[in-house]
Amino acid sequence: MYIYDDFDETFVRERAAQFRDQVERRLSGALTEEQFRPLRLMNGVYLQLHAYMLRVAIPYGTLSSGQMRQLAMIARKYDKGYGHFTTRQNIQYNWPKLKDLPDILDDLADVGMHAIQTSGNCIRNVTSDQWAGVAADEVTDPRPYAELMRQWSSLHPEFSYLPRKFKIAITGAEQDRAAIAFHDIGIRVKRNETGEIGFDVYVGGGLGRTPMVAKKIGEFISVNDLLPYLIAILRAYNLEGRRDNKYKARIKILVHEKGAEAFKARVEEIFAGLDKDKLRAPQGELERIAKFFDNPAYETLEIEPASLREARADNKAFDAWVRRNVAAHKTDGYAIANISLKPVEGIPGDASAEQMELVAQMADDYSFGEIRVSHEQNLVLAHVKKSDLYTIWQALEANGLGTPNIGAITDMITCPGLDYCALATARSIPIAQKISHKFSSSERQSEIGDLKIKISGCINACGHHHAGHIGILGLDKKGEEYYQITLGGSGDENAAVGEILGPGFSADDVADAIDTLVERYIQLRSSEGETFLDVVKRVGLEPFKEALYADH
Amino acid sequence: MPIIKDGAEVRDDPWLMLTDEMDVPTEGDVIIPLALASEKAERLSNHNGRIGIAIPNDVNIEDYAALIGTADLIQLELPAFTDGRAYSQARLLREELGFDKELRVKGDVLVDQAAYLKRCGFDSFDFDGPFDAEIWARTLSIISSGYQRNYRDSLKHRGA
Repeated sequence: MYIYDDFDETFVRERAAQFRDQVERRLSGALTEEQFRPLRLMNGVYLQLHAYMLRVAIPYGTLSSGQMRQLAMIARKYDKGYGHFTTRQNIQYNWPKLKDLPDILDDLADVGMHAIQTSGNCIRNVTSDQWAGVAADEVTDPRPYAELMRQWSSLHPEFSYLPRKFKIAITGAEQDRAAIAFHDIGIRVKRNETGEIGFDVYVGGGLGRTPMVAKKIGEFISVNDLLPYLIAILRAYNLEGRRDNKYKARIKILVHEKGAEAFKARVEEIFAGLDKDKLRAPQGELERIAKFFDNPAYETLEIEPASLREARADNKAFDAWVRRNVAAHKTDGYAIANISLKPVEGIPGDASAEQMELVAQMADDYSFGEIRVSHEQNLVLAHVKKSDLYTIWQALEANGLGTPNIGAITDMITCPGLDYCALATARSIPIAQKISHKFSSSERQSEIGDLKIKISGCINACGHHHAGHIGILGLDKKGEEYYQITLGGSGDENAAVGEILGPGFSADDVADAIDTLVERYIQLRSSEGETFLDVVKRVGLEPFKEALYADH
Repeated sequence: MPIIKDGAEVRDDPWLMLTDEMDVPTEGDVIIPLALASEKAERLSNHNGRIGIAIPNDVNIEDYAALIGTADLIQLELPAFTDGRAYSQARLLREELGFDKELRVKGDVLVDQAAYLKRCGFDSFDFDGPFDAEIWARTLSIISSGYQRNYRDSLKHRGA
């Protein structure tokens, strides 16, 4: 993974010193809260319902074991002993004190981490496929480009006061695990017949109150032109994006109102005028970065070790975990082990300091000291020997991290909701817990198969409900929380926005409603291989509406 | 309204901002709003002094390349510190139209934005006080390096 050199380290330390100075000016009254607000936001500090929240950047979801241990230390020293992994592959601390924040940033800088641009109307943490560099279906590793964009976007002088936040995601695989179609800019790395790398660039995707799937405007943009092309998009947006209404300020609205073709023409016009040679990555920089992402020293191993076969045959729980949580690695004898942060009735995405330390230890012992965070709020050990899986699982299982539910119905994305968030209209976490309780049997989950539920506690859609096979949106009606259900959303390469089924349900009735939908799906499916989403696409919403509302 | 240039307050700023009702003086340095530029063009042609143009943040800079080429100062607007259009306008002026005279920003400038504004090409700042030279100097120098190359760049870059 990428390791800071002196240049990066100086930059991050100076940024921490700058924030310390800003906090001191706020505490002394030299800055008003209104003036301090955009400054703290640009450094990941929110004011929530009960306390400040600090969001720490985990660039494209990649962490070293040492960084993970430091995150655990911070959770213990400055928070209540846990942290929350987010849908943008970051980690949030919900209870730090304002006066401690500069010290936390210094502690982060000690391990090459920061909170730069994890919020605010600027370019946010660049996200990517959590299996980047190891997935069996990958065309090419997107991480060198993600790191290049991280550096280029850091404290960008021109793009730090945009109309609204700006999110970039990149994938290099056939299957889109980074939900690029729901980002302000989504990038798909491609390779042509002659082996050259290029980027298809999608723009104007997003969730929130106006969900939109991104439109492709750039076709096979060259590696050399990547940064100038991004500058052209950002400049068009910065100059022309709406600033009159915060809910219409994202680039998706500009692209929609102007039309994708006209927006593309404007970007190309700006691009044509750029002095590109001055804006490209410095000579040799991409190659320097790419070296950090060379394969670790894999051994030559047998494809399917006998010890794994035996352990699976002997232990049903382990076998269930392997089937659900282990994915194909590009290298023989290795596997990708996904660690679920969605235990039955737990808080999705939360991990205790002890659990973080355990995962760090597992990474050191079995996965070249590296950990990934997925946008679905789980962790990944990306390079483990198949022969080590059983040992790893035993340790995880003993520490509440062995839940065999990756991609299953209880592997829900859930926003913090009204339990933490000042914007929320309803609670999300208790709904996830009720659903998790209802479907706690791993046999039942296994019978249901792949099914993504995503829950948001308000129309800002931080829980990605629009992209859920089943989406749940918490709203408030005259002081009562109620939940609207959508079906058919998807965040993958066939991205789609879910459609509303009908009237909402009370907090007590949501889990039963989900149960009804699942039962109807089981009746409707033509085989076990036909997933929930396949069935919704085949039969439409009607049979599900009938199941839910026929009695009412 | 302090005007800050090179880290210090400009005591006697020579520039007079023209408004609708004012006649163009016969001499002295004047800043004329873009909207009045054509109306007052005739008077300005006989003017003895430098001419600046104030450009709102919702116009396409490239449409005024010829006019900008004759100006001795361009003033861009920051109506609210959160409105970042002038940053892009400044880069277009500097990097594409080759404007190399004084570029001034007027409006809601926060000291913490000055470094970004400077990197985009601004060299003078006109805003409602207070101005503290010590804080100004500190916030402008606290970050010594940058990942992007900029106009009249004074930051350190990797490998340089």
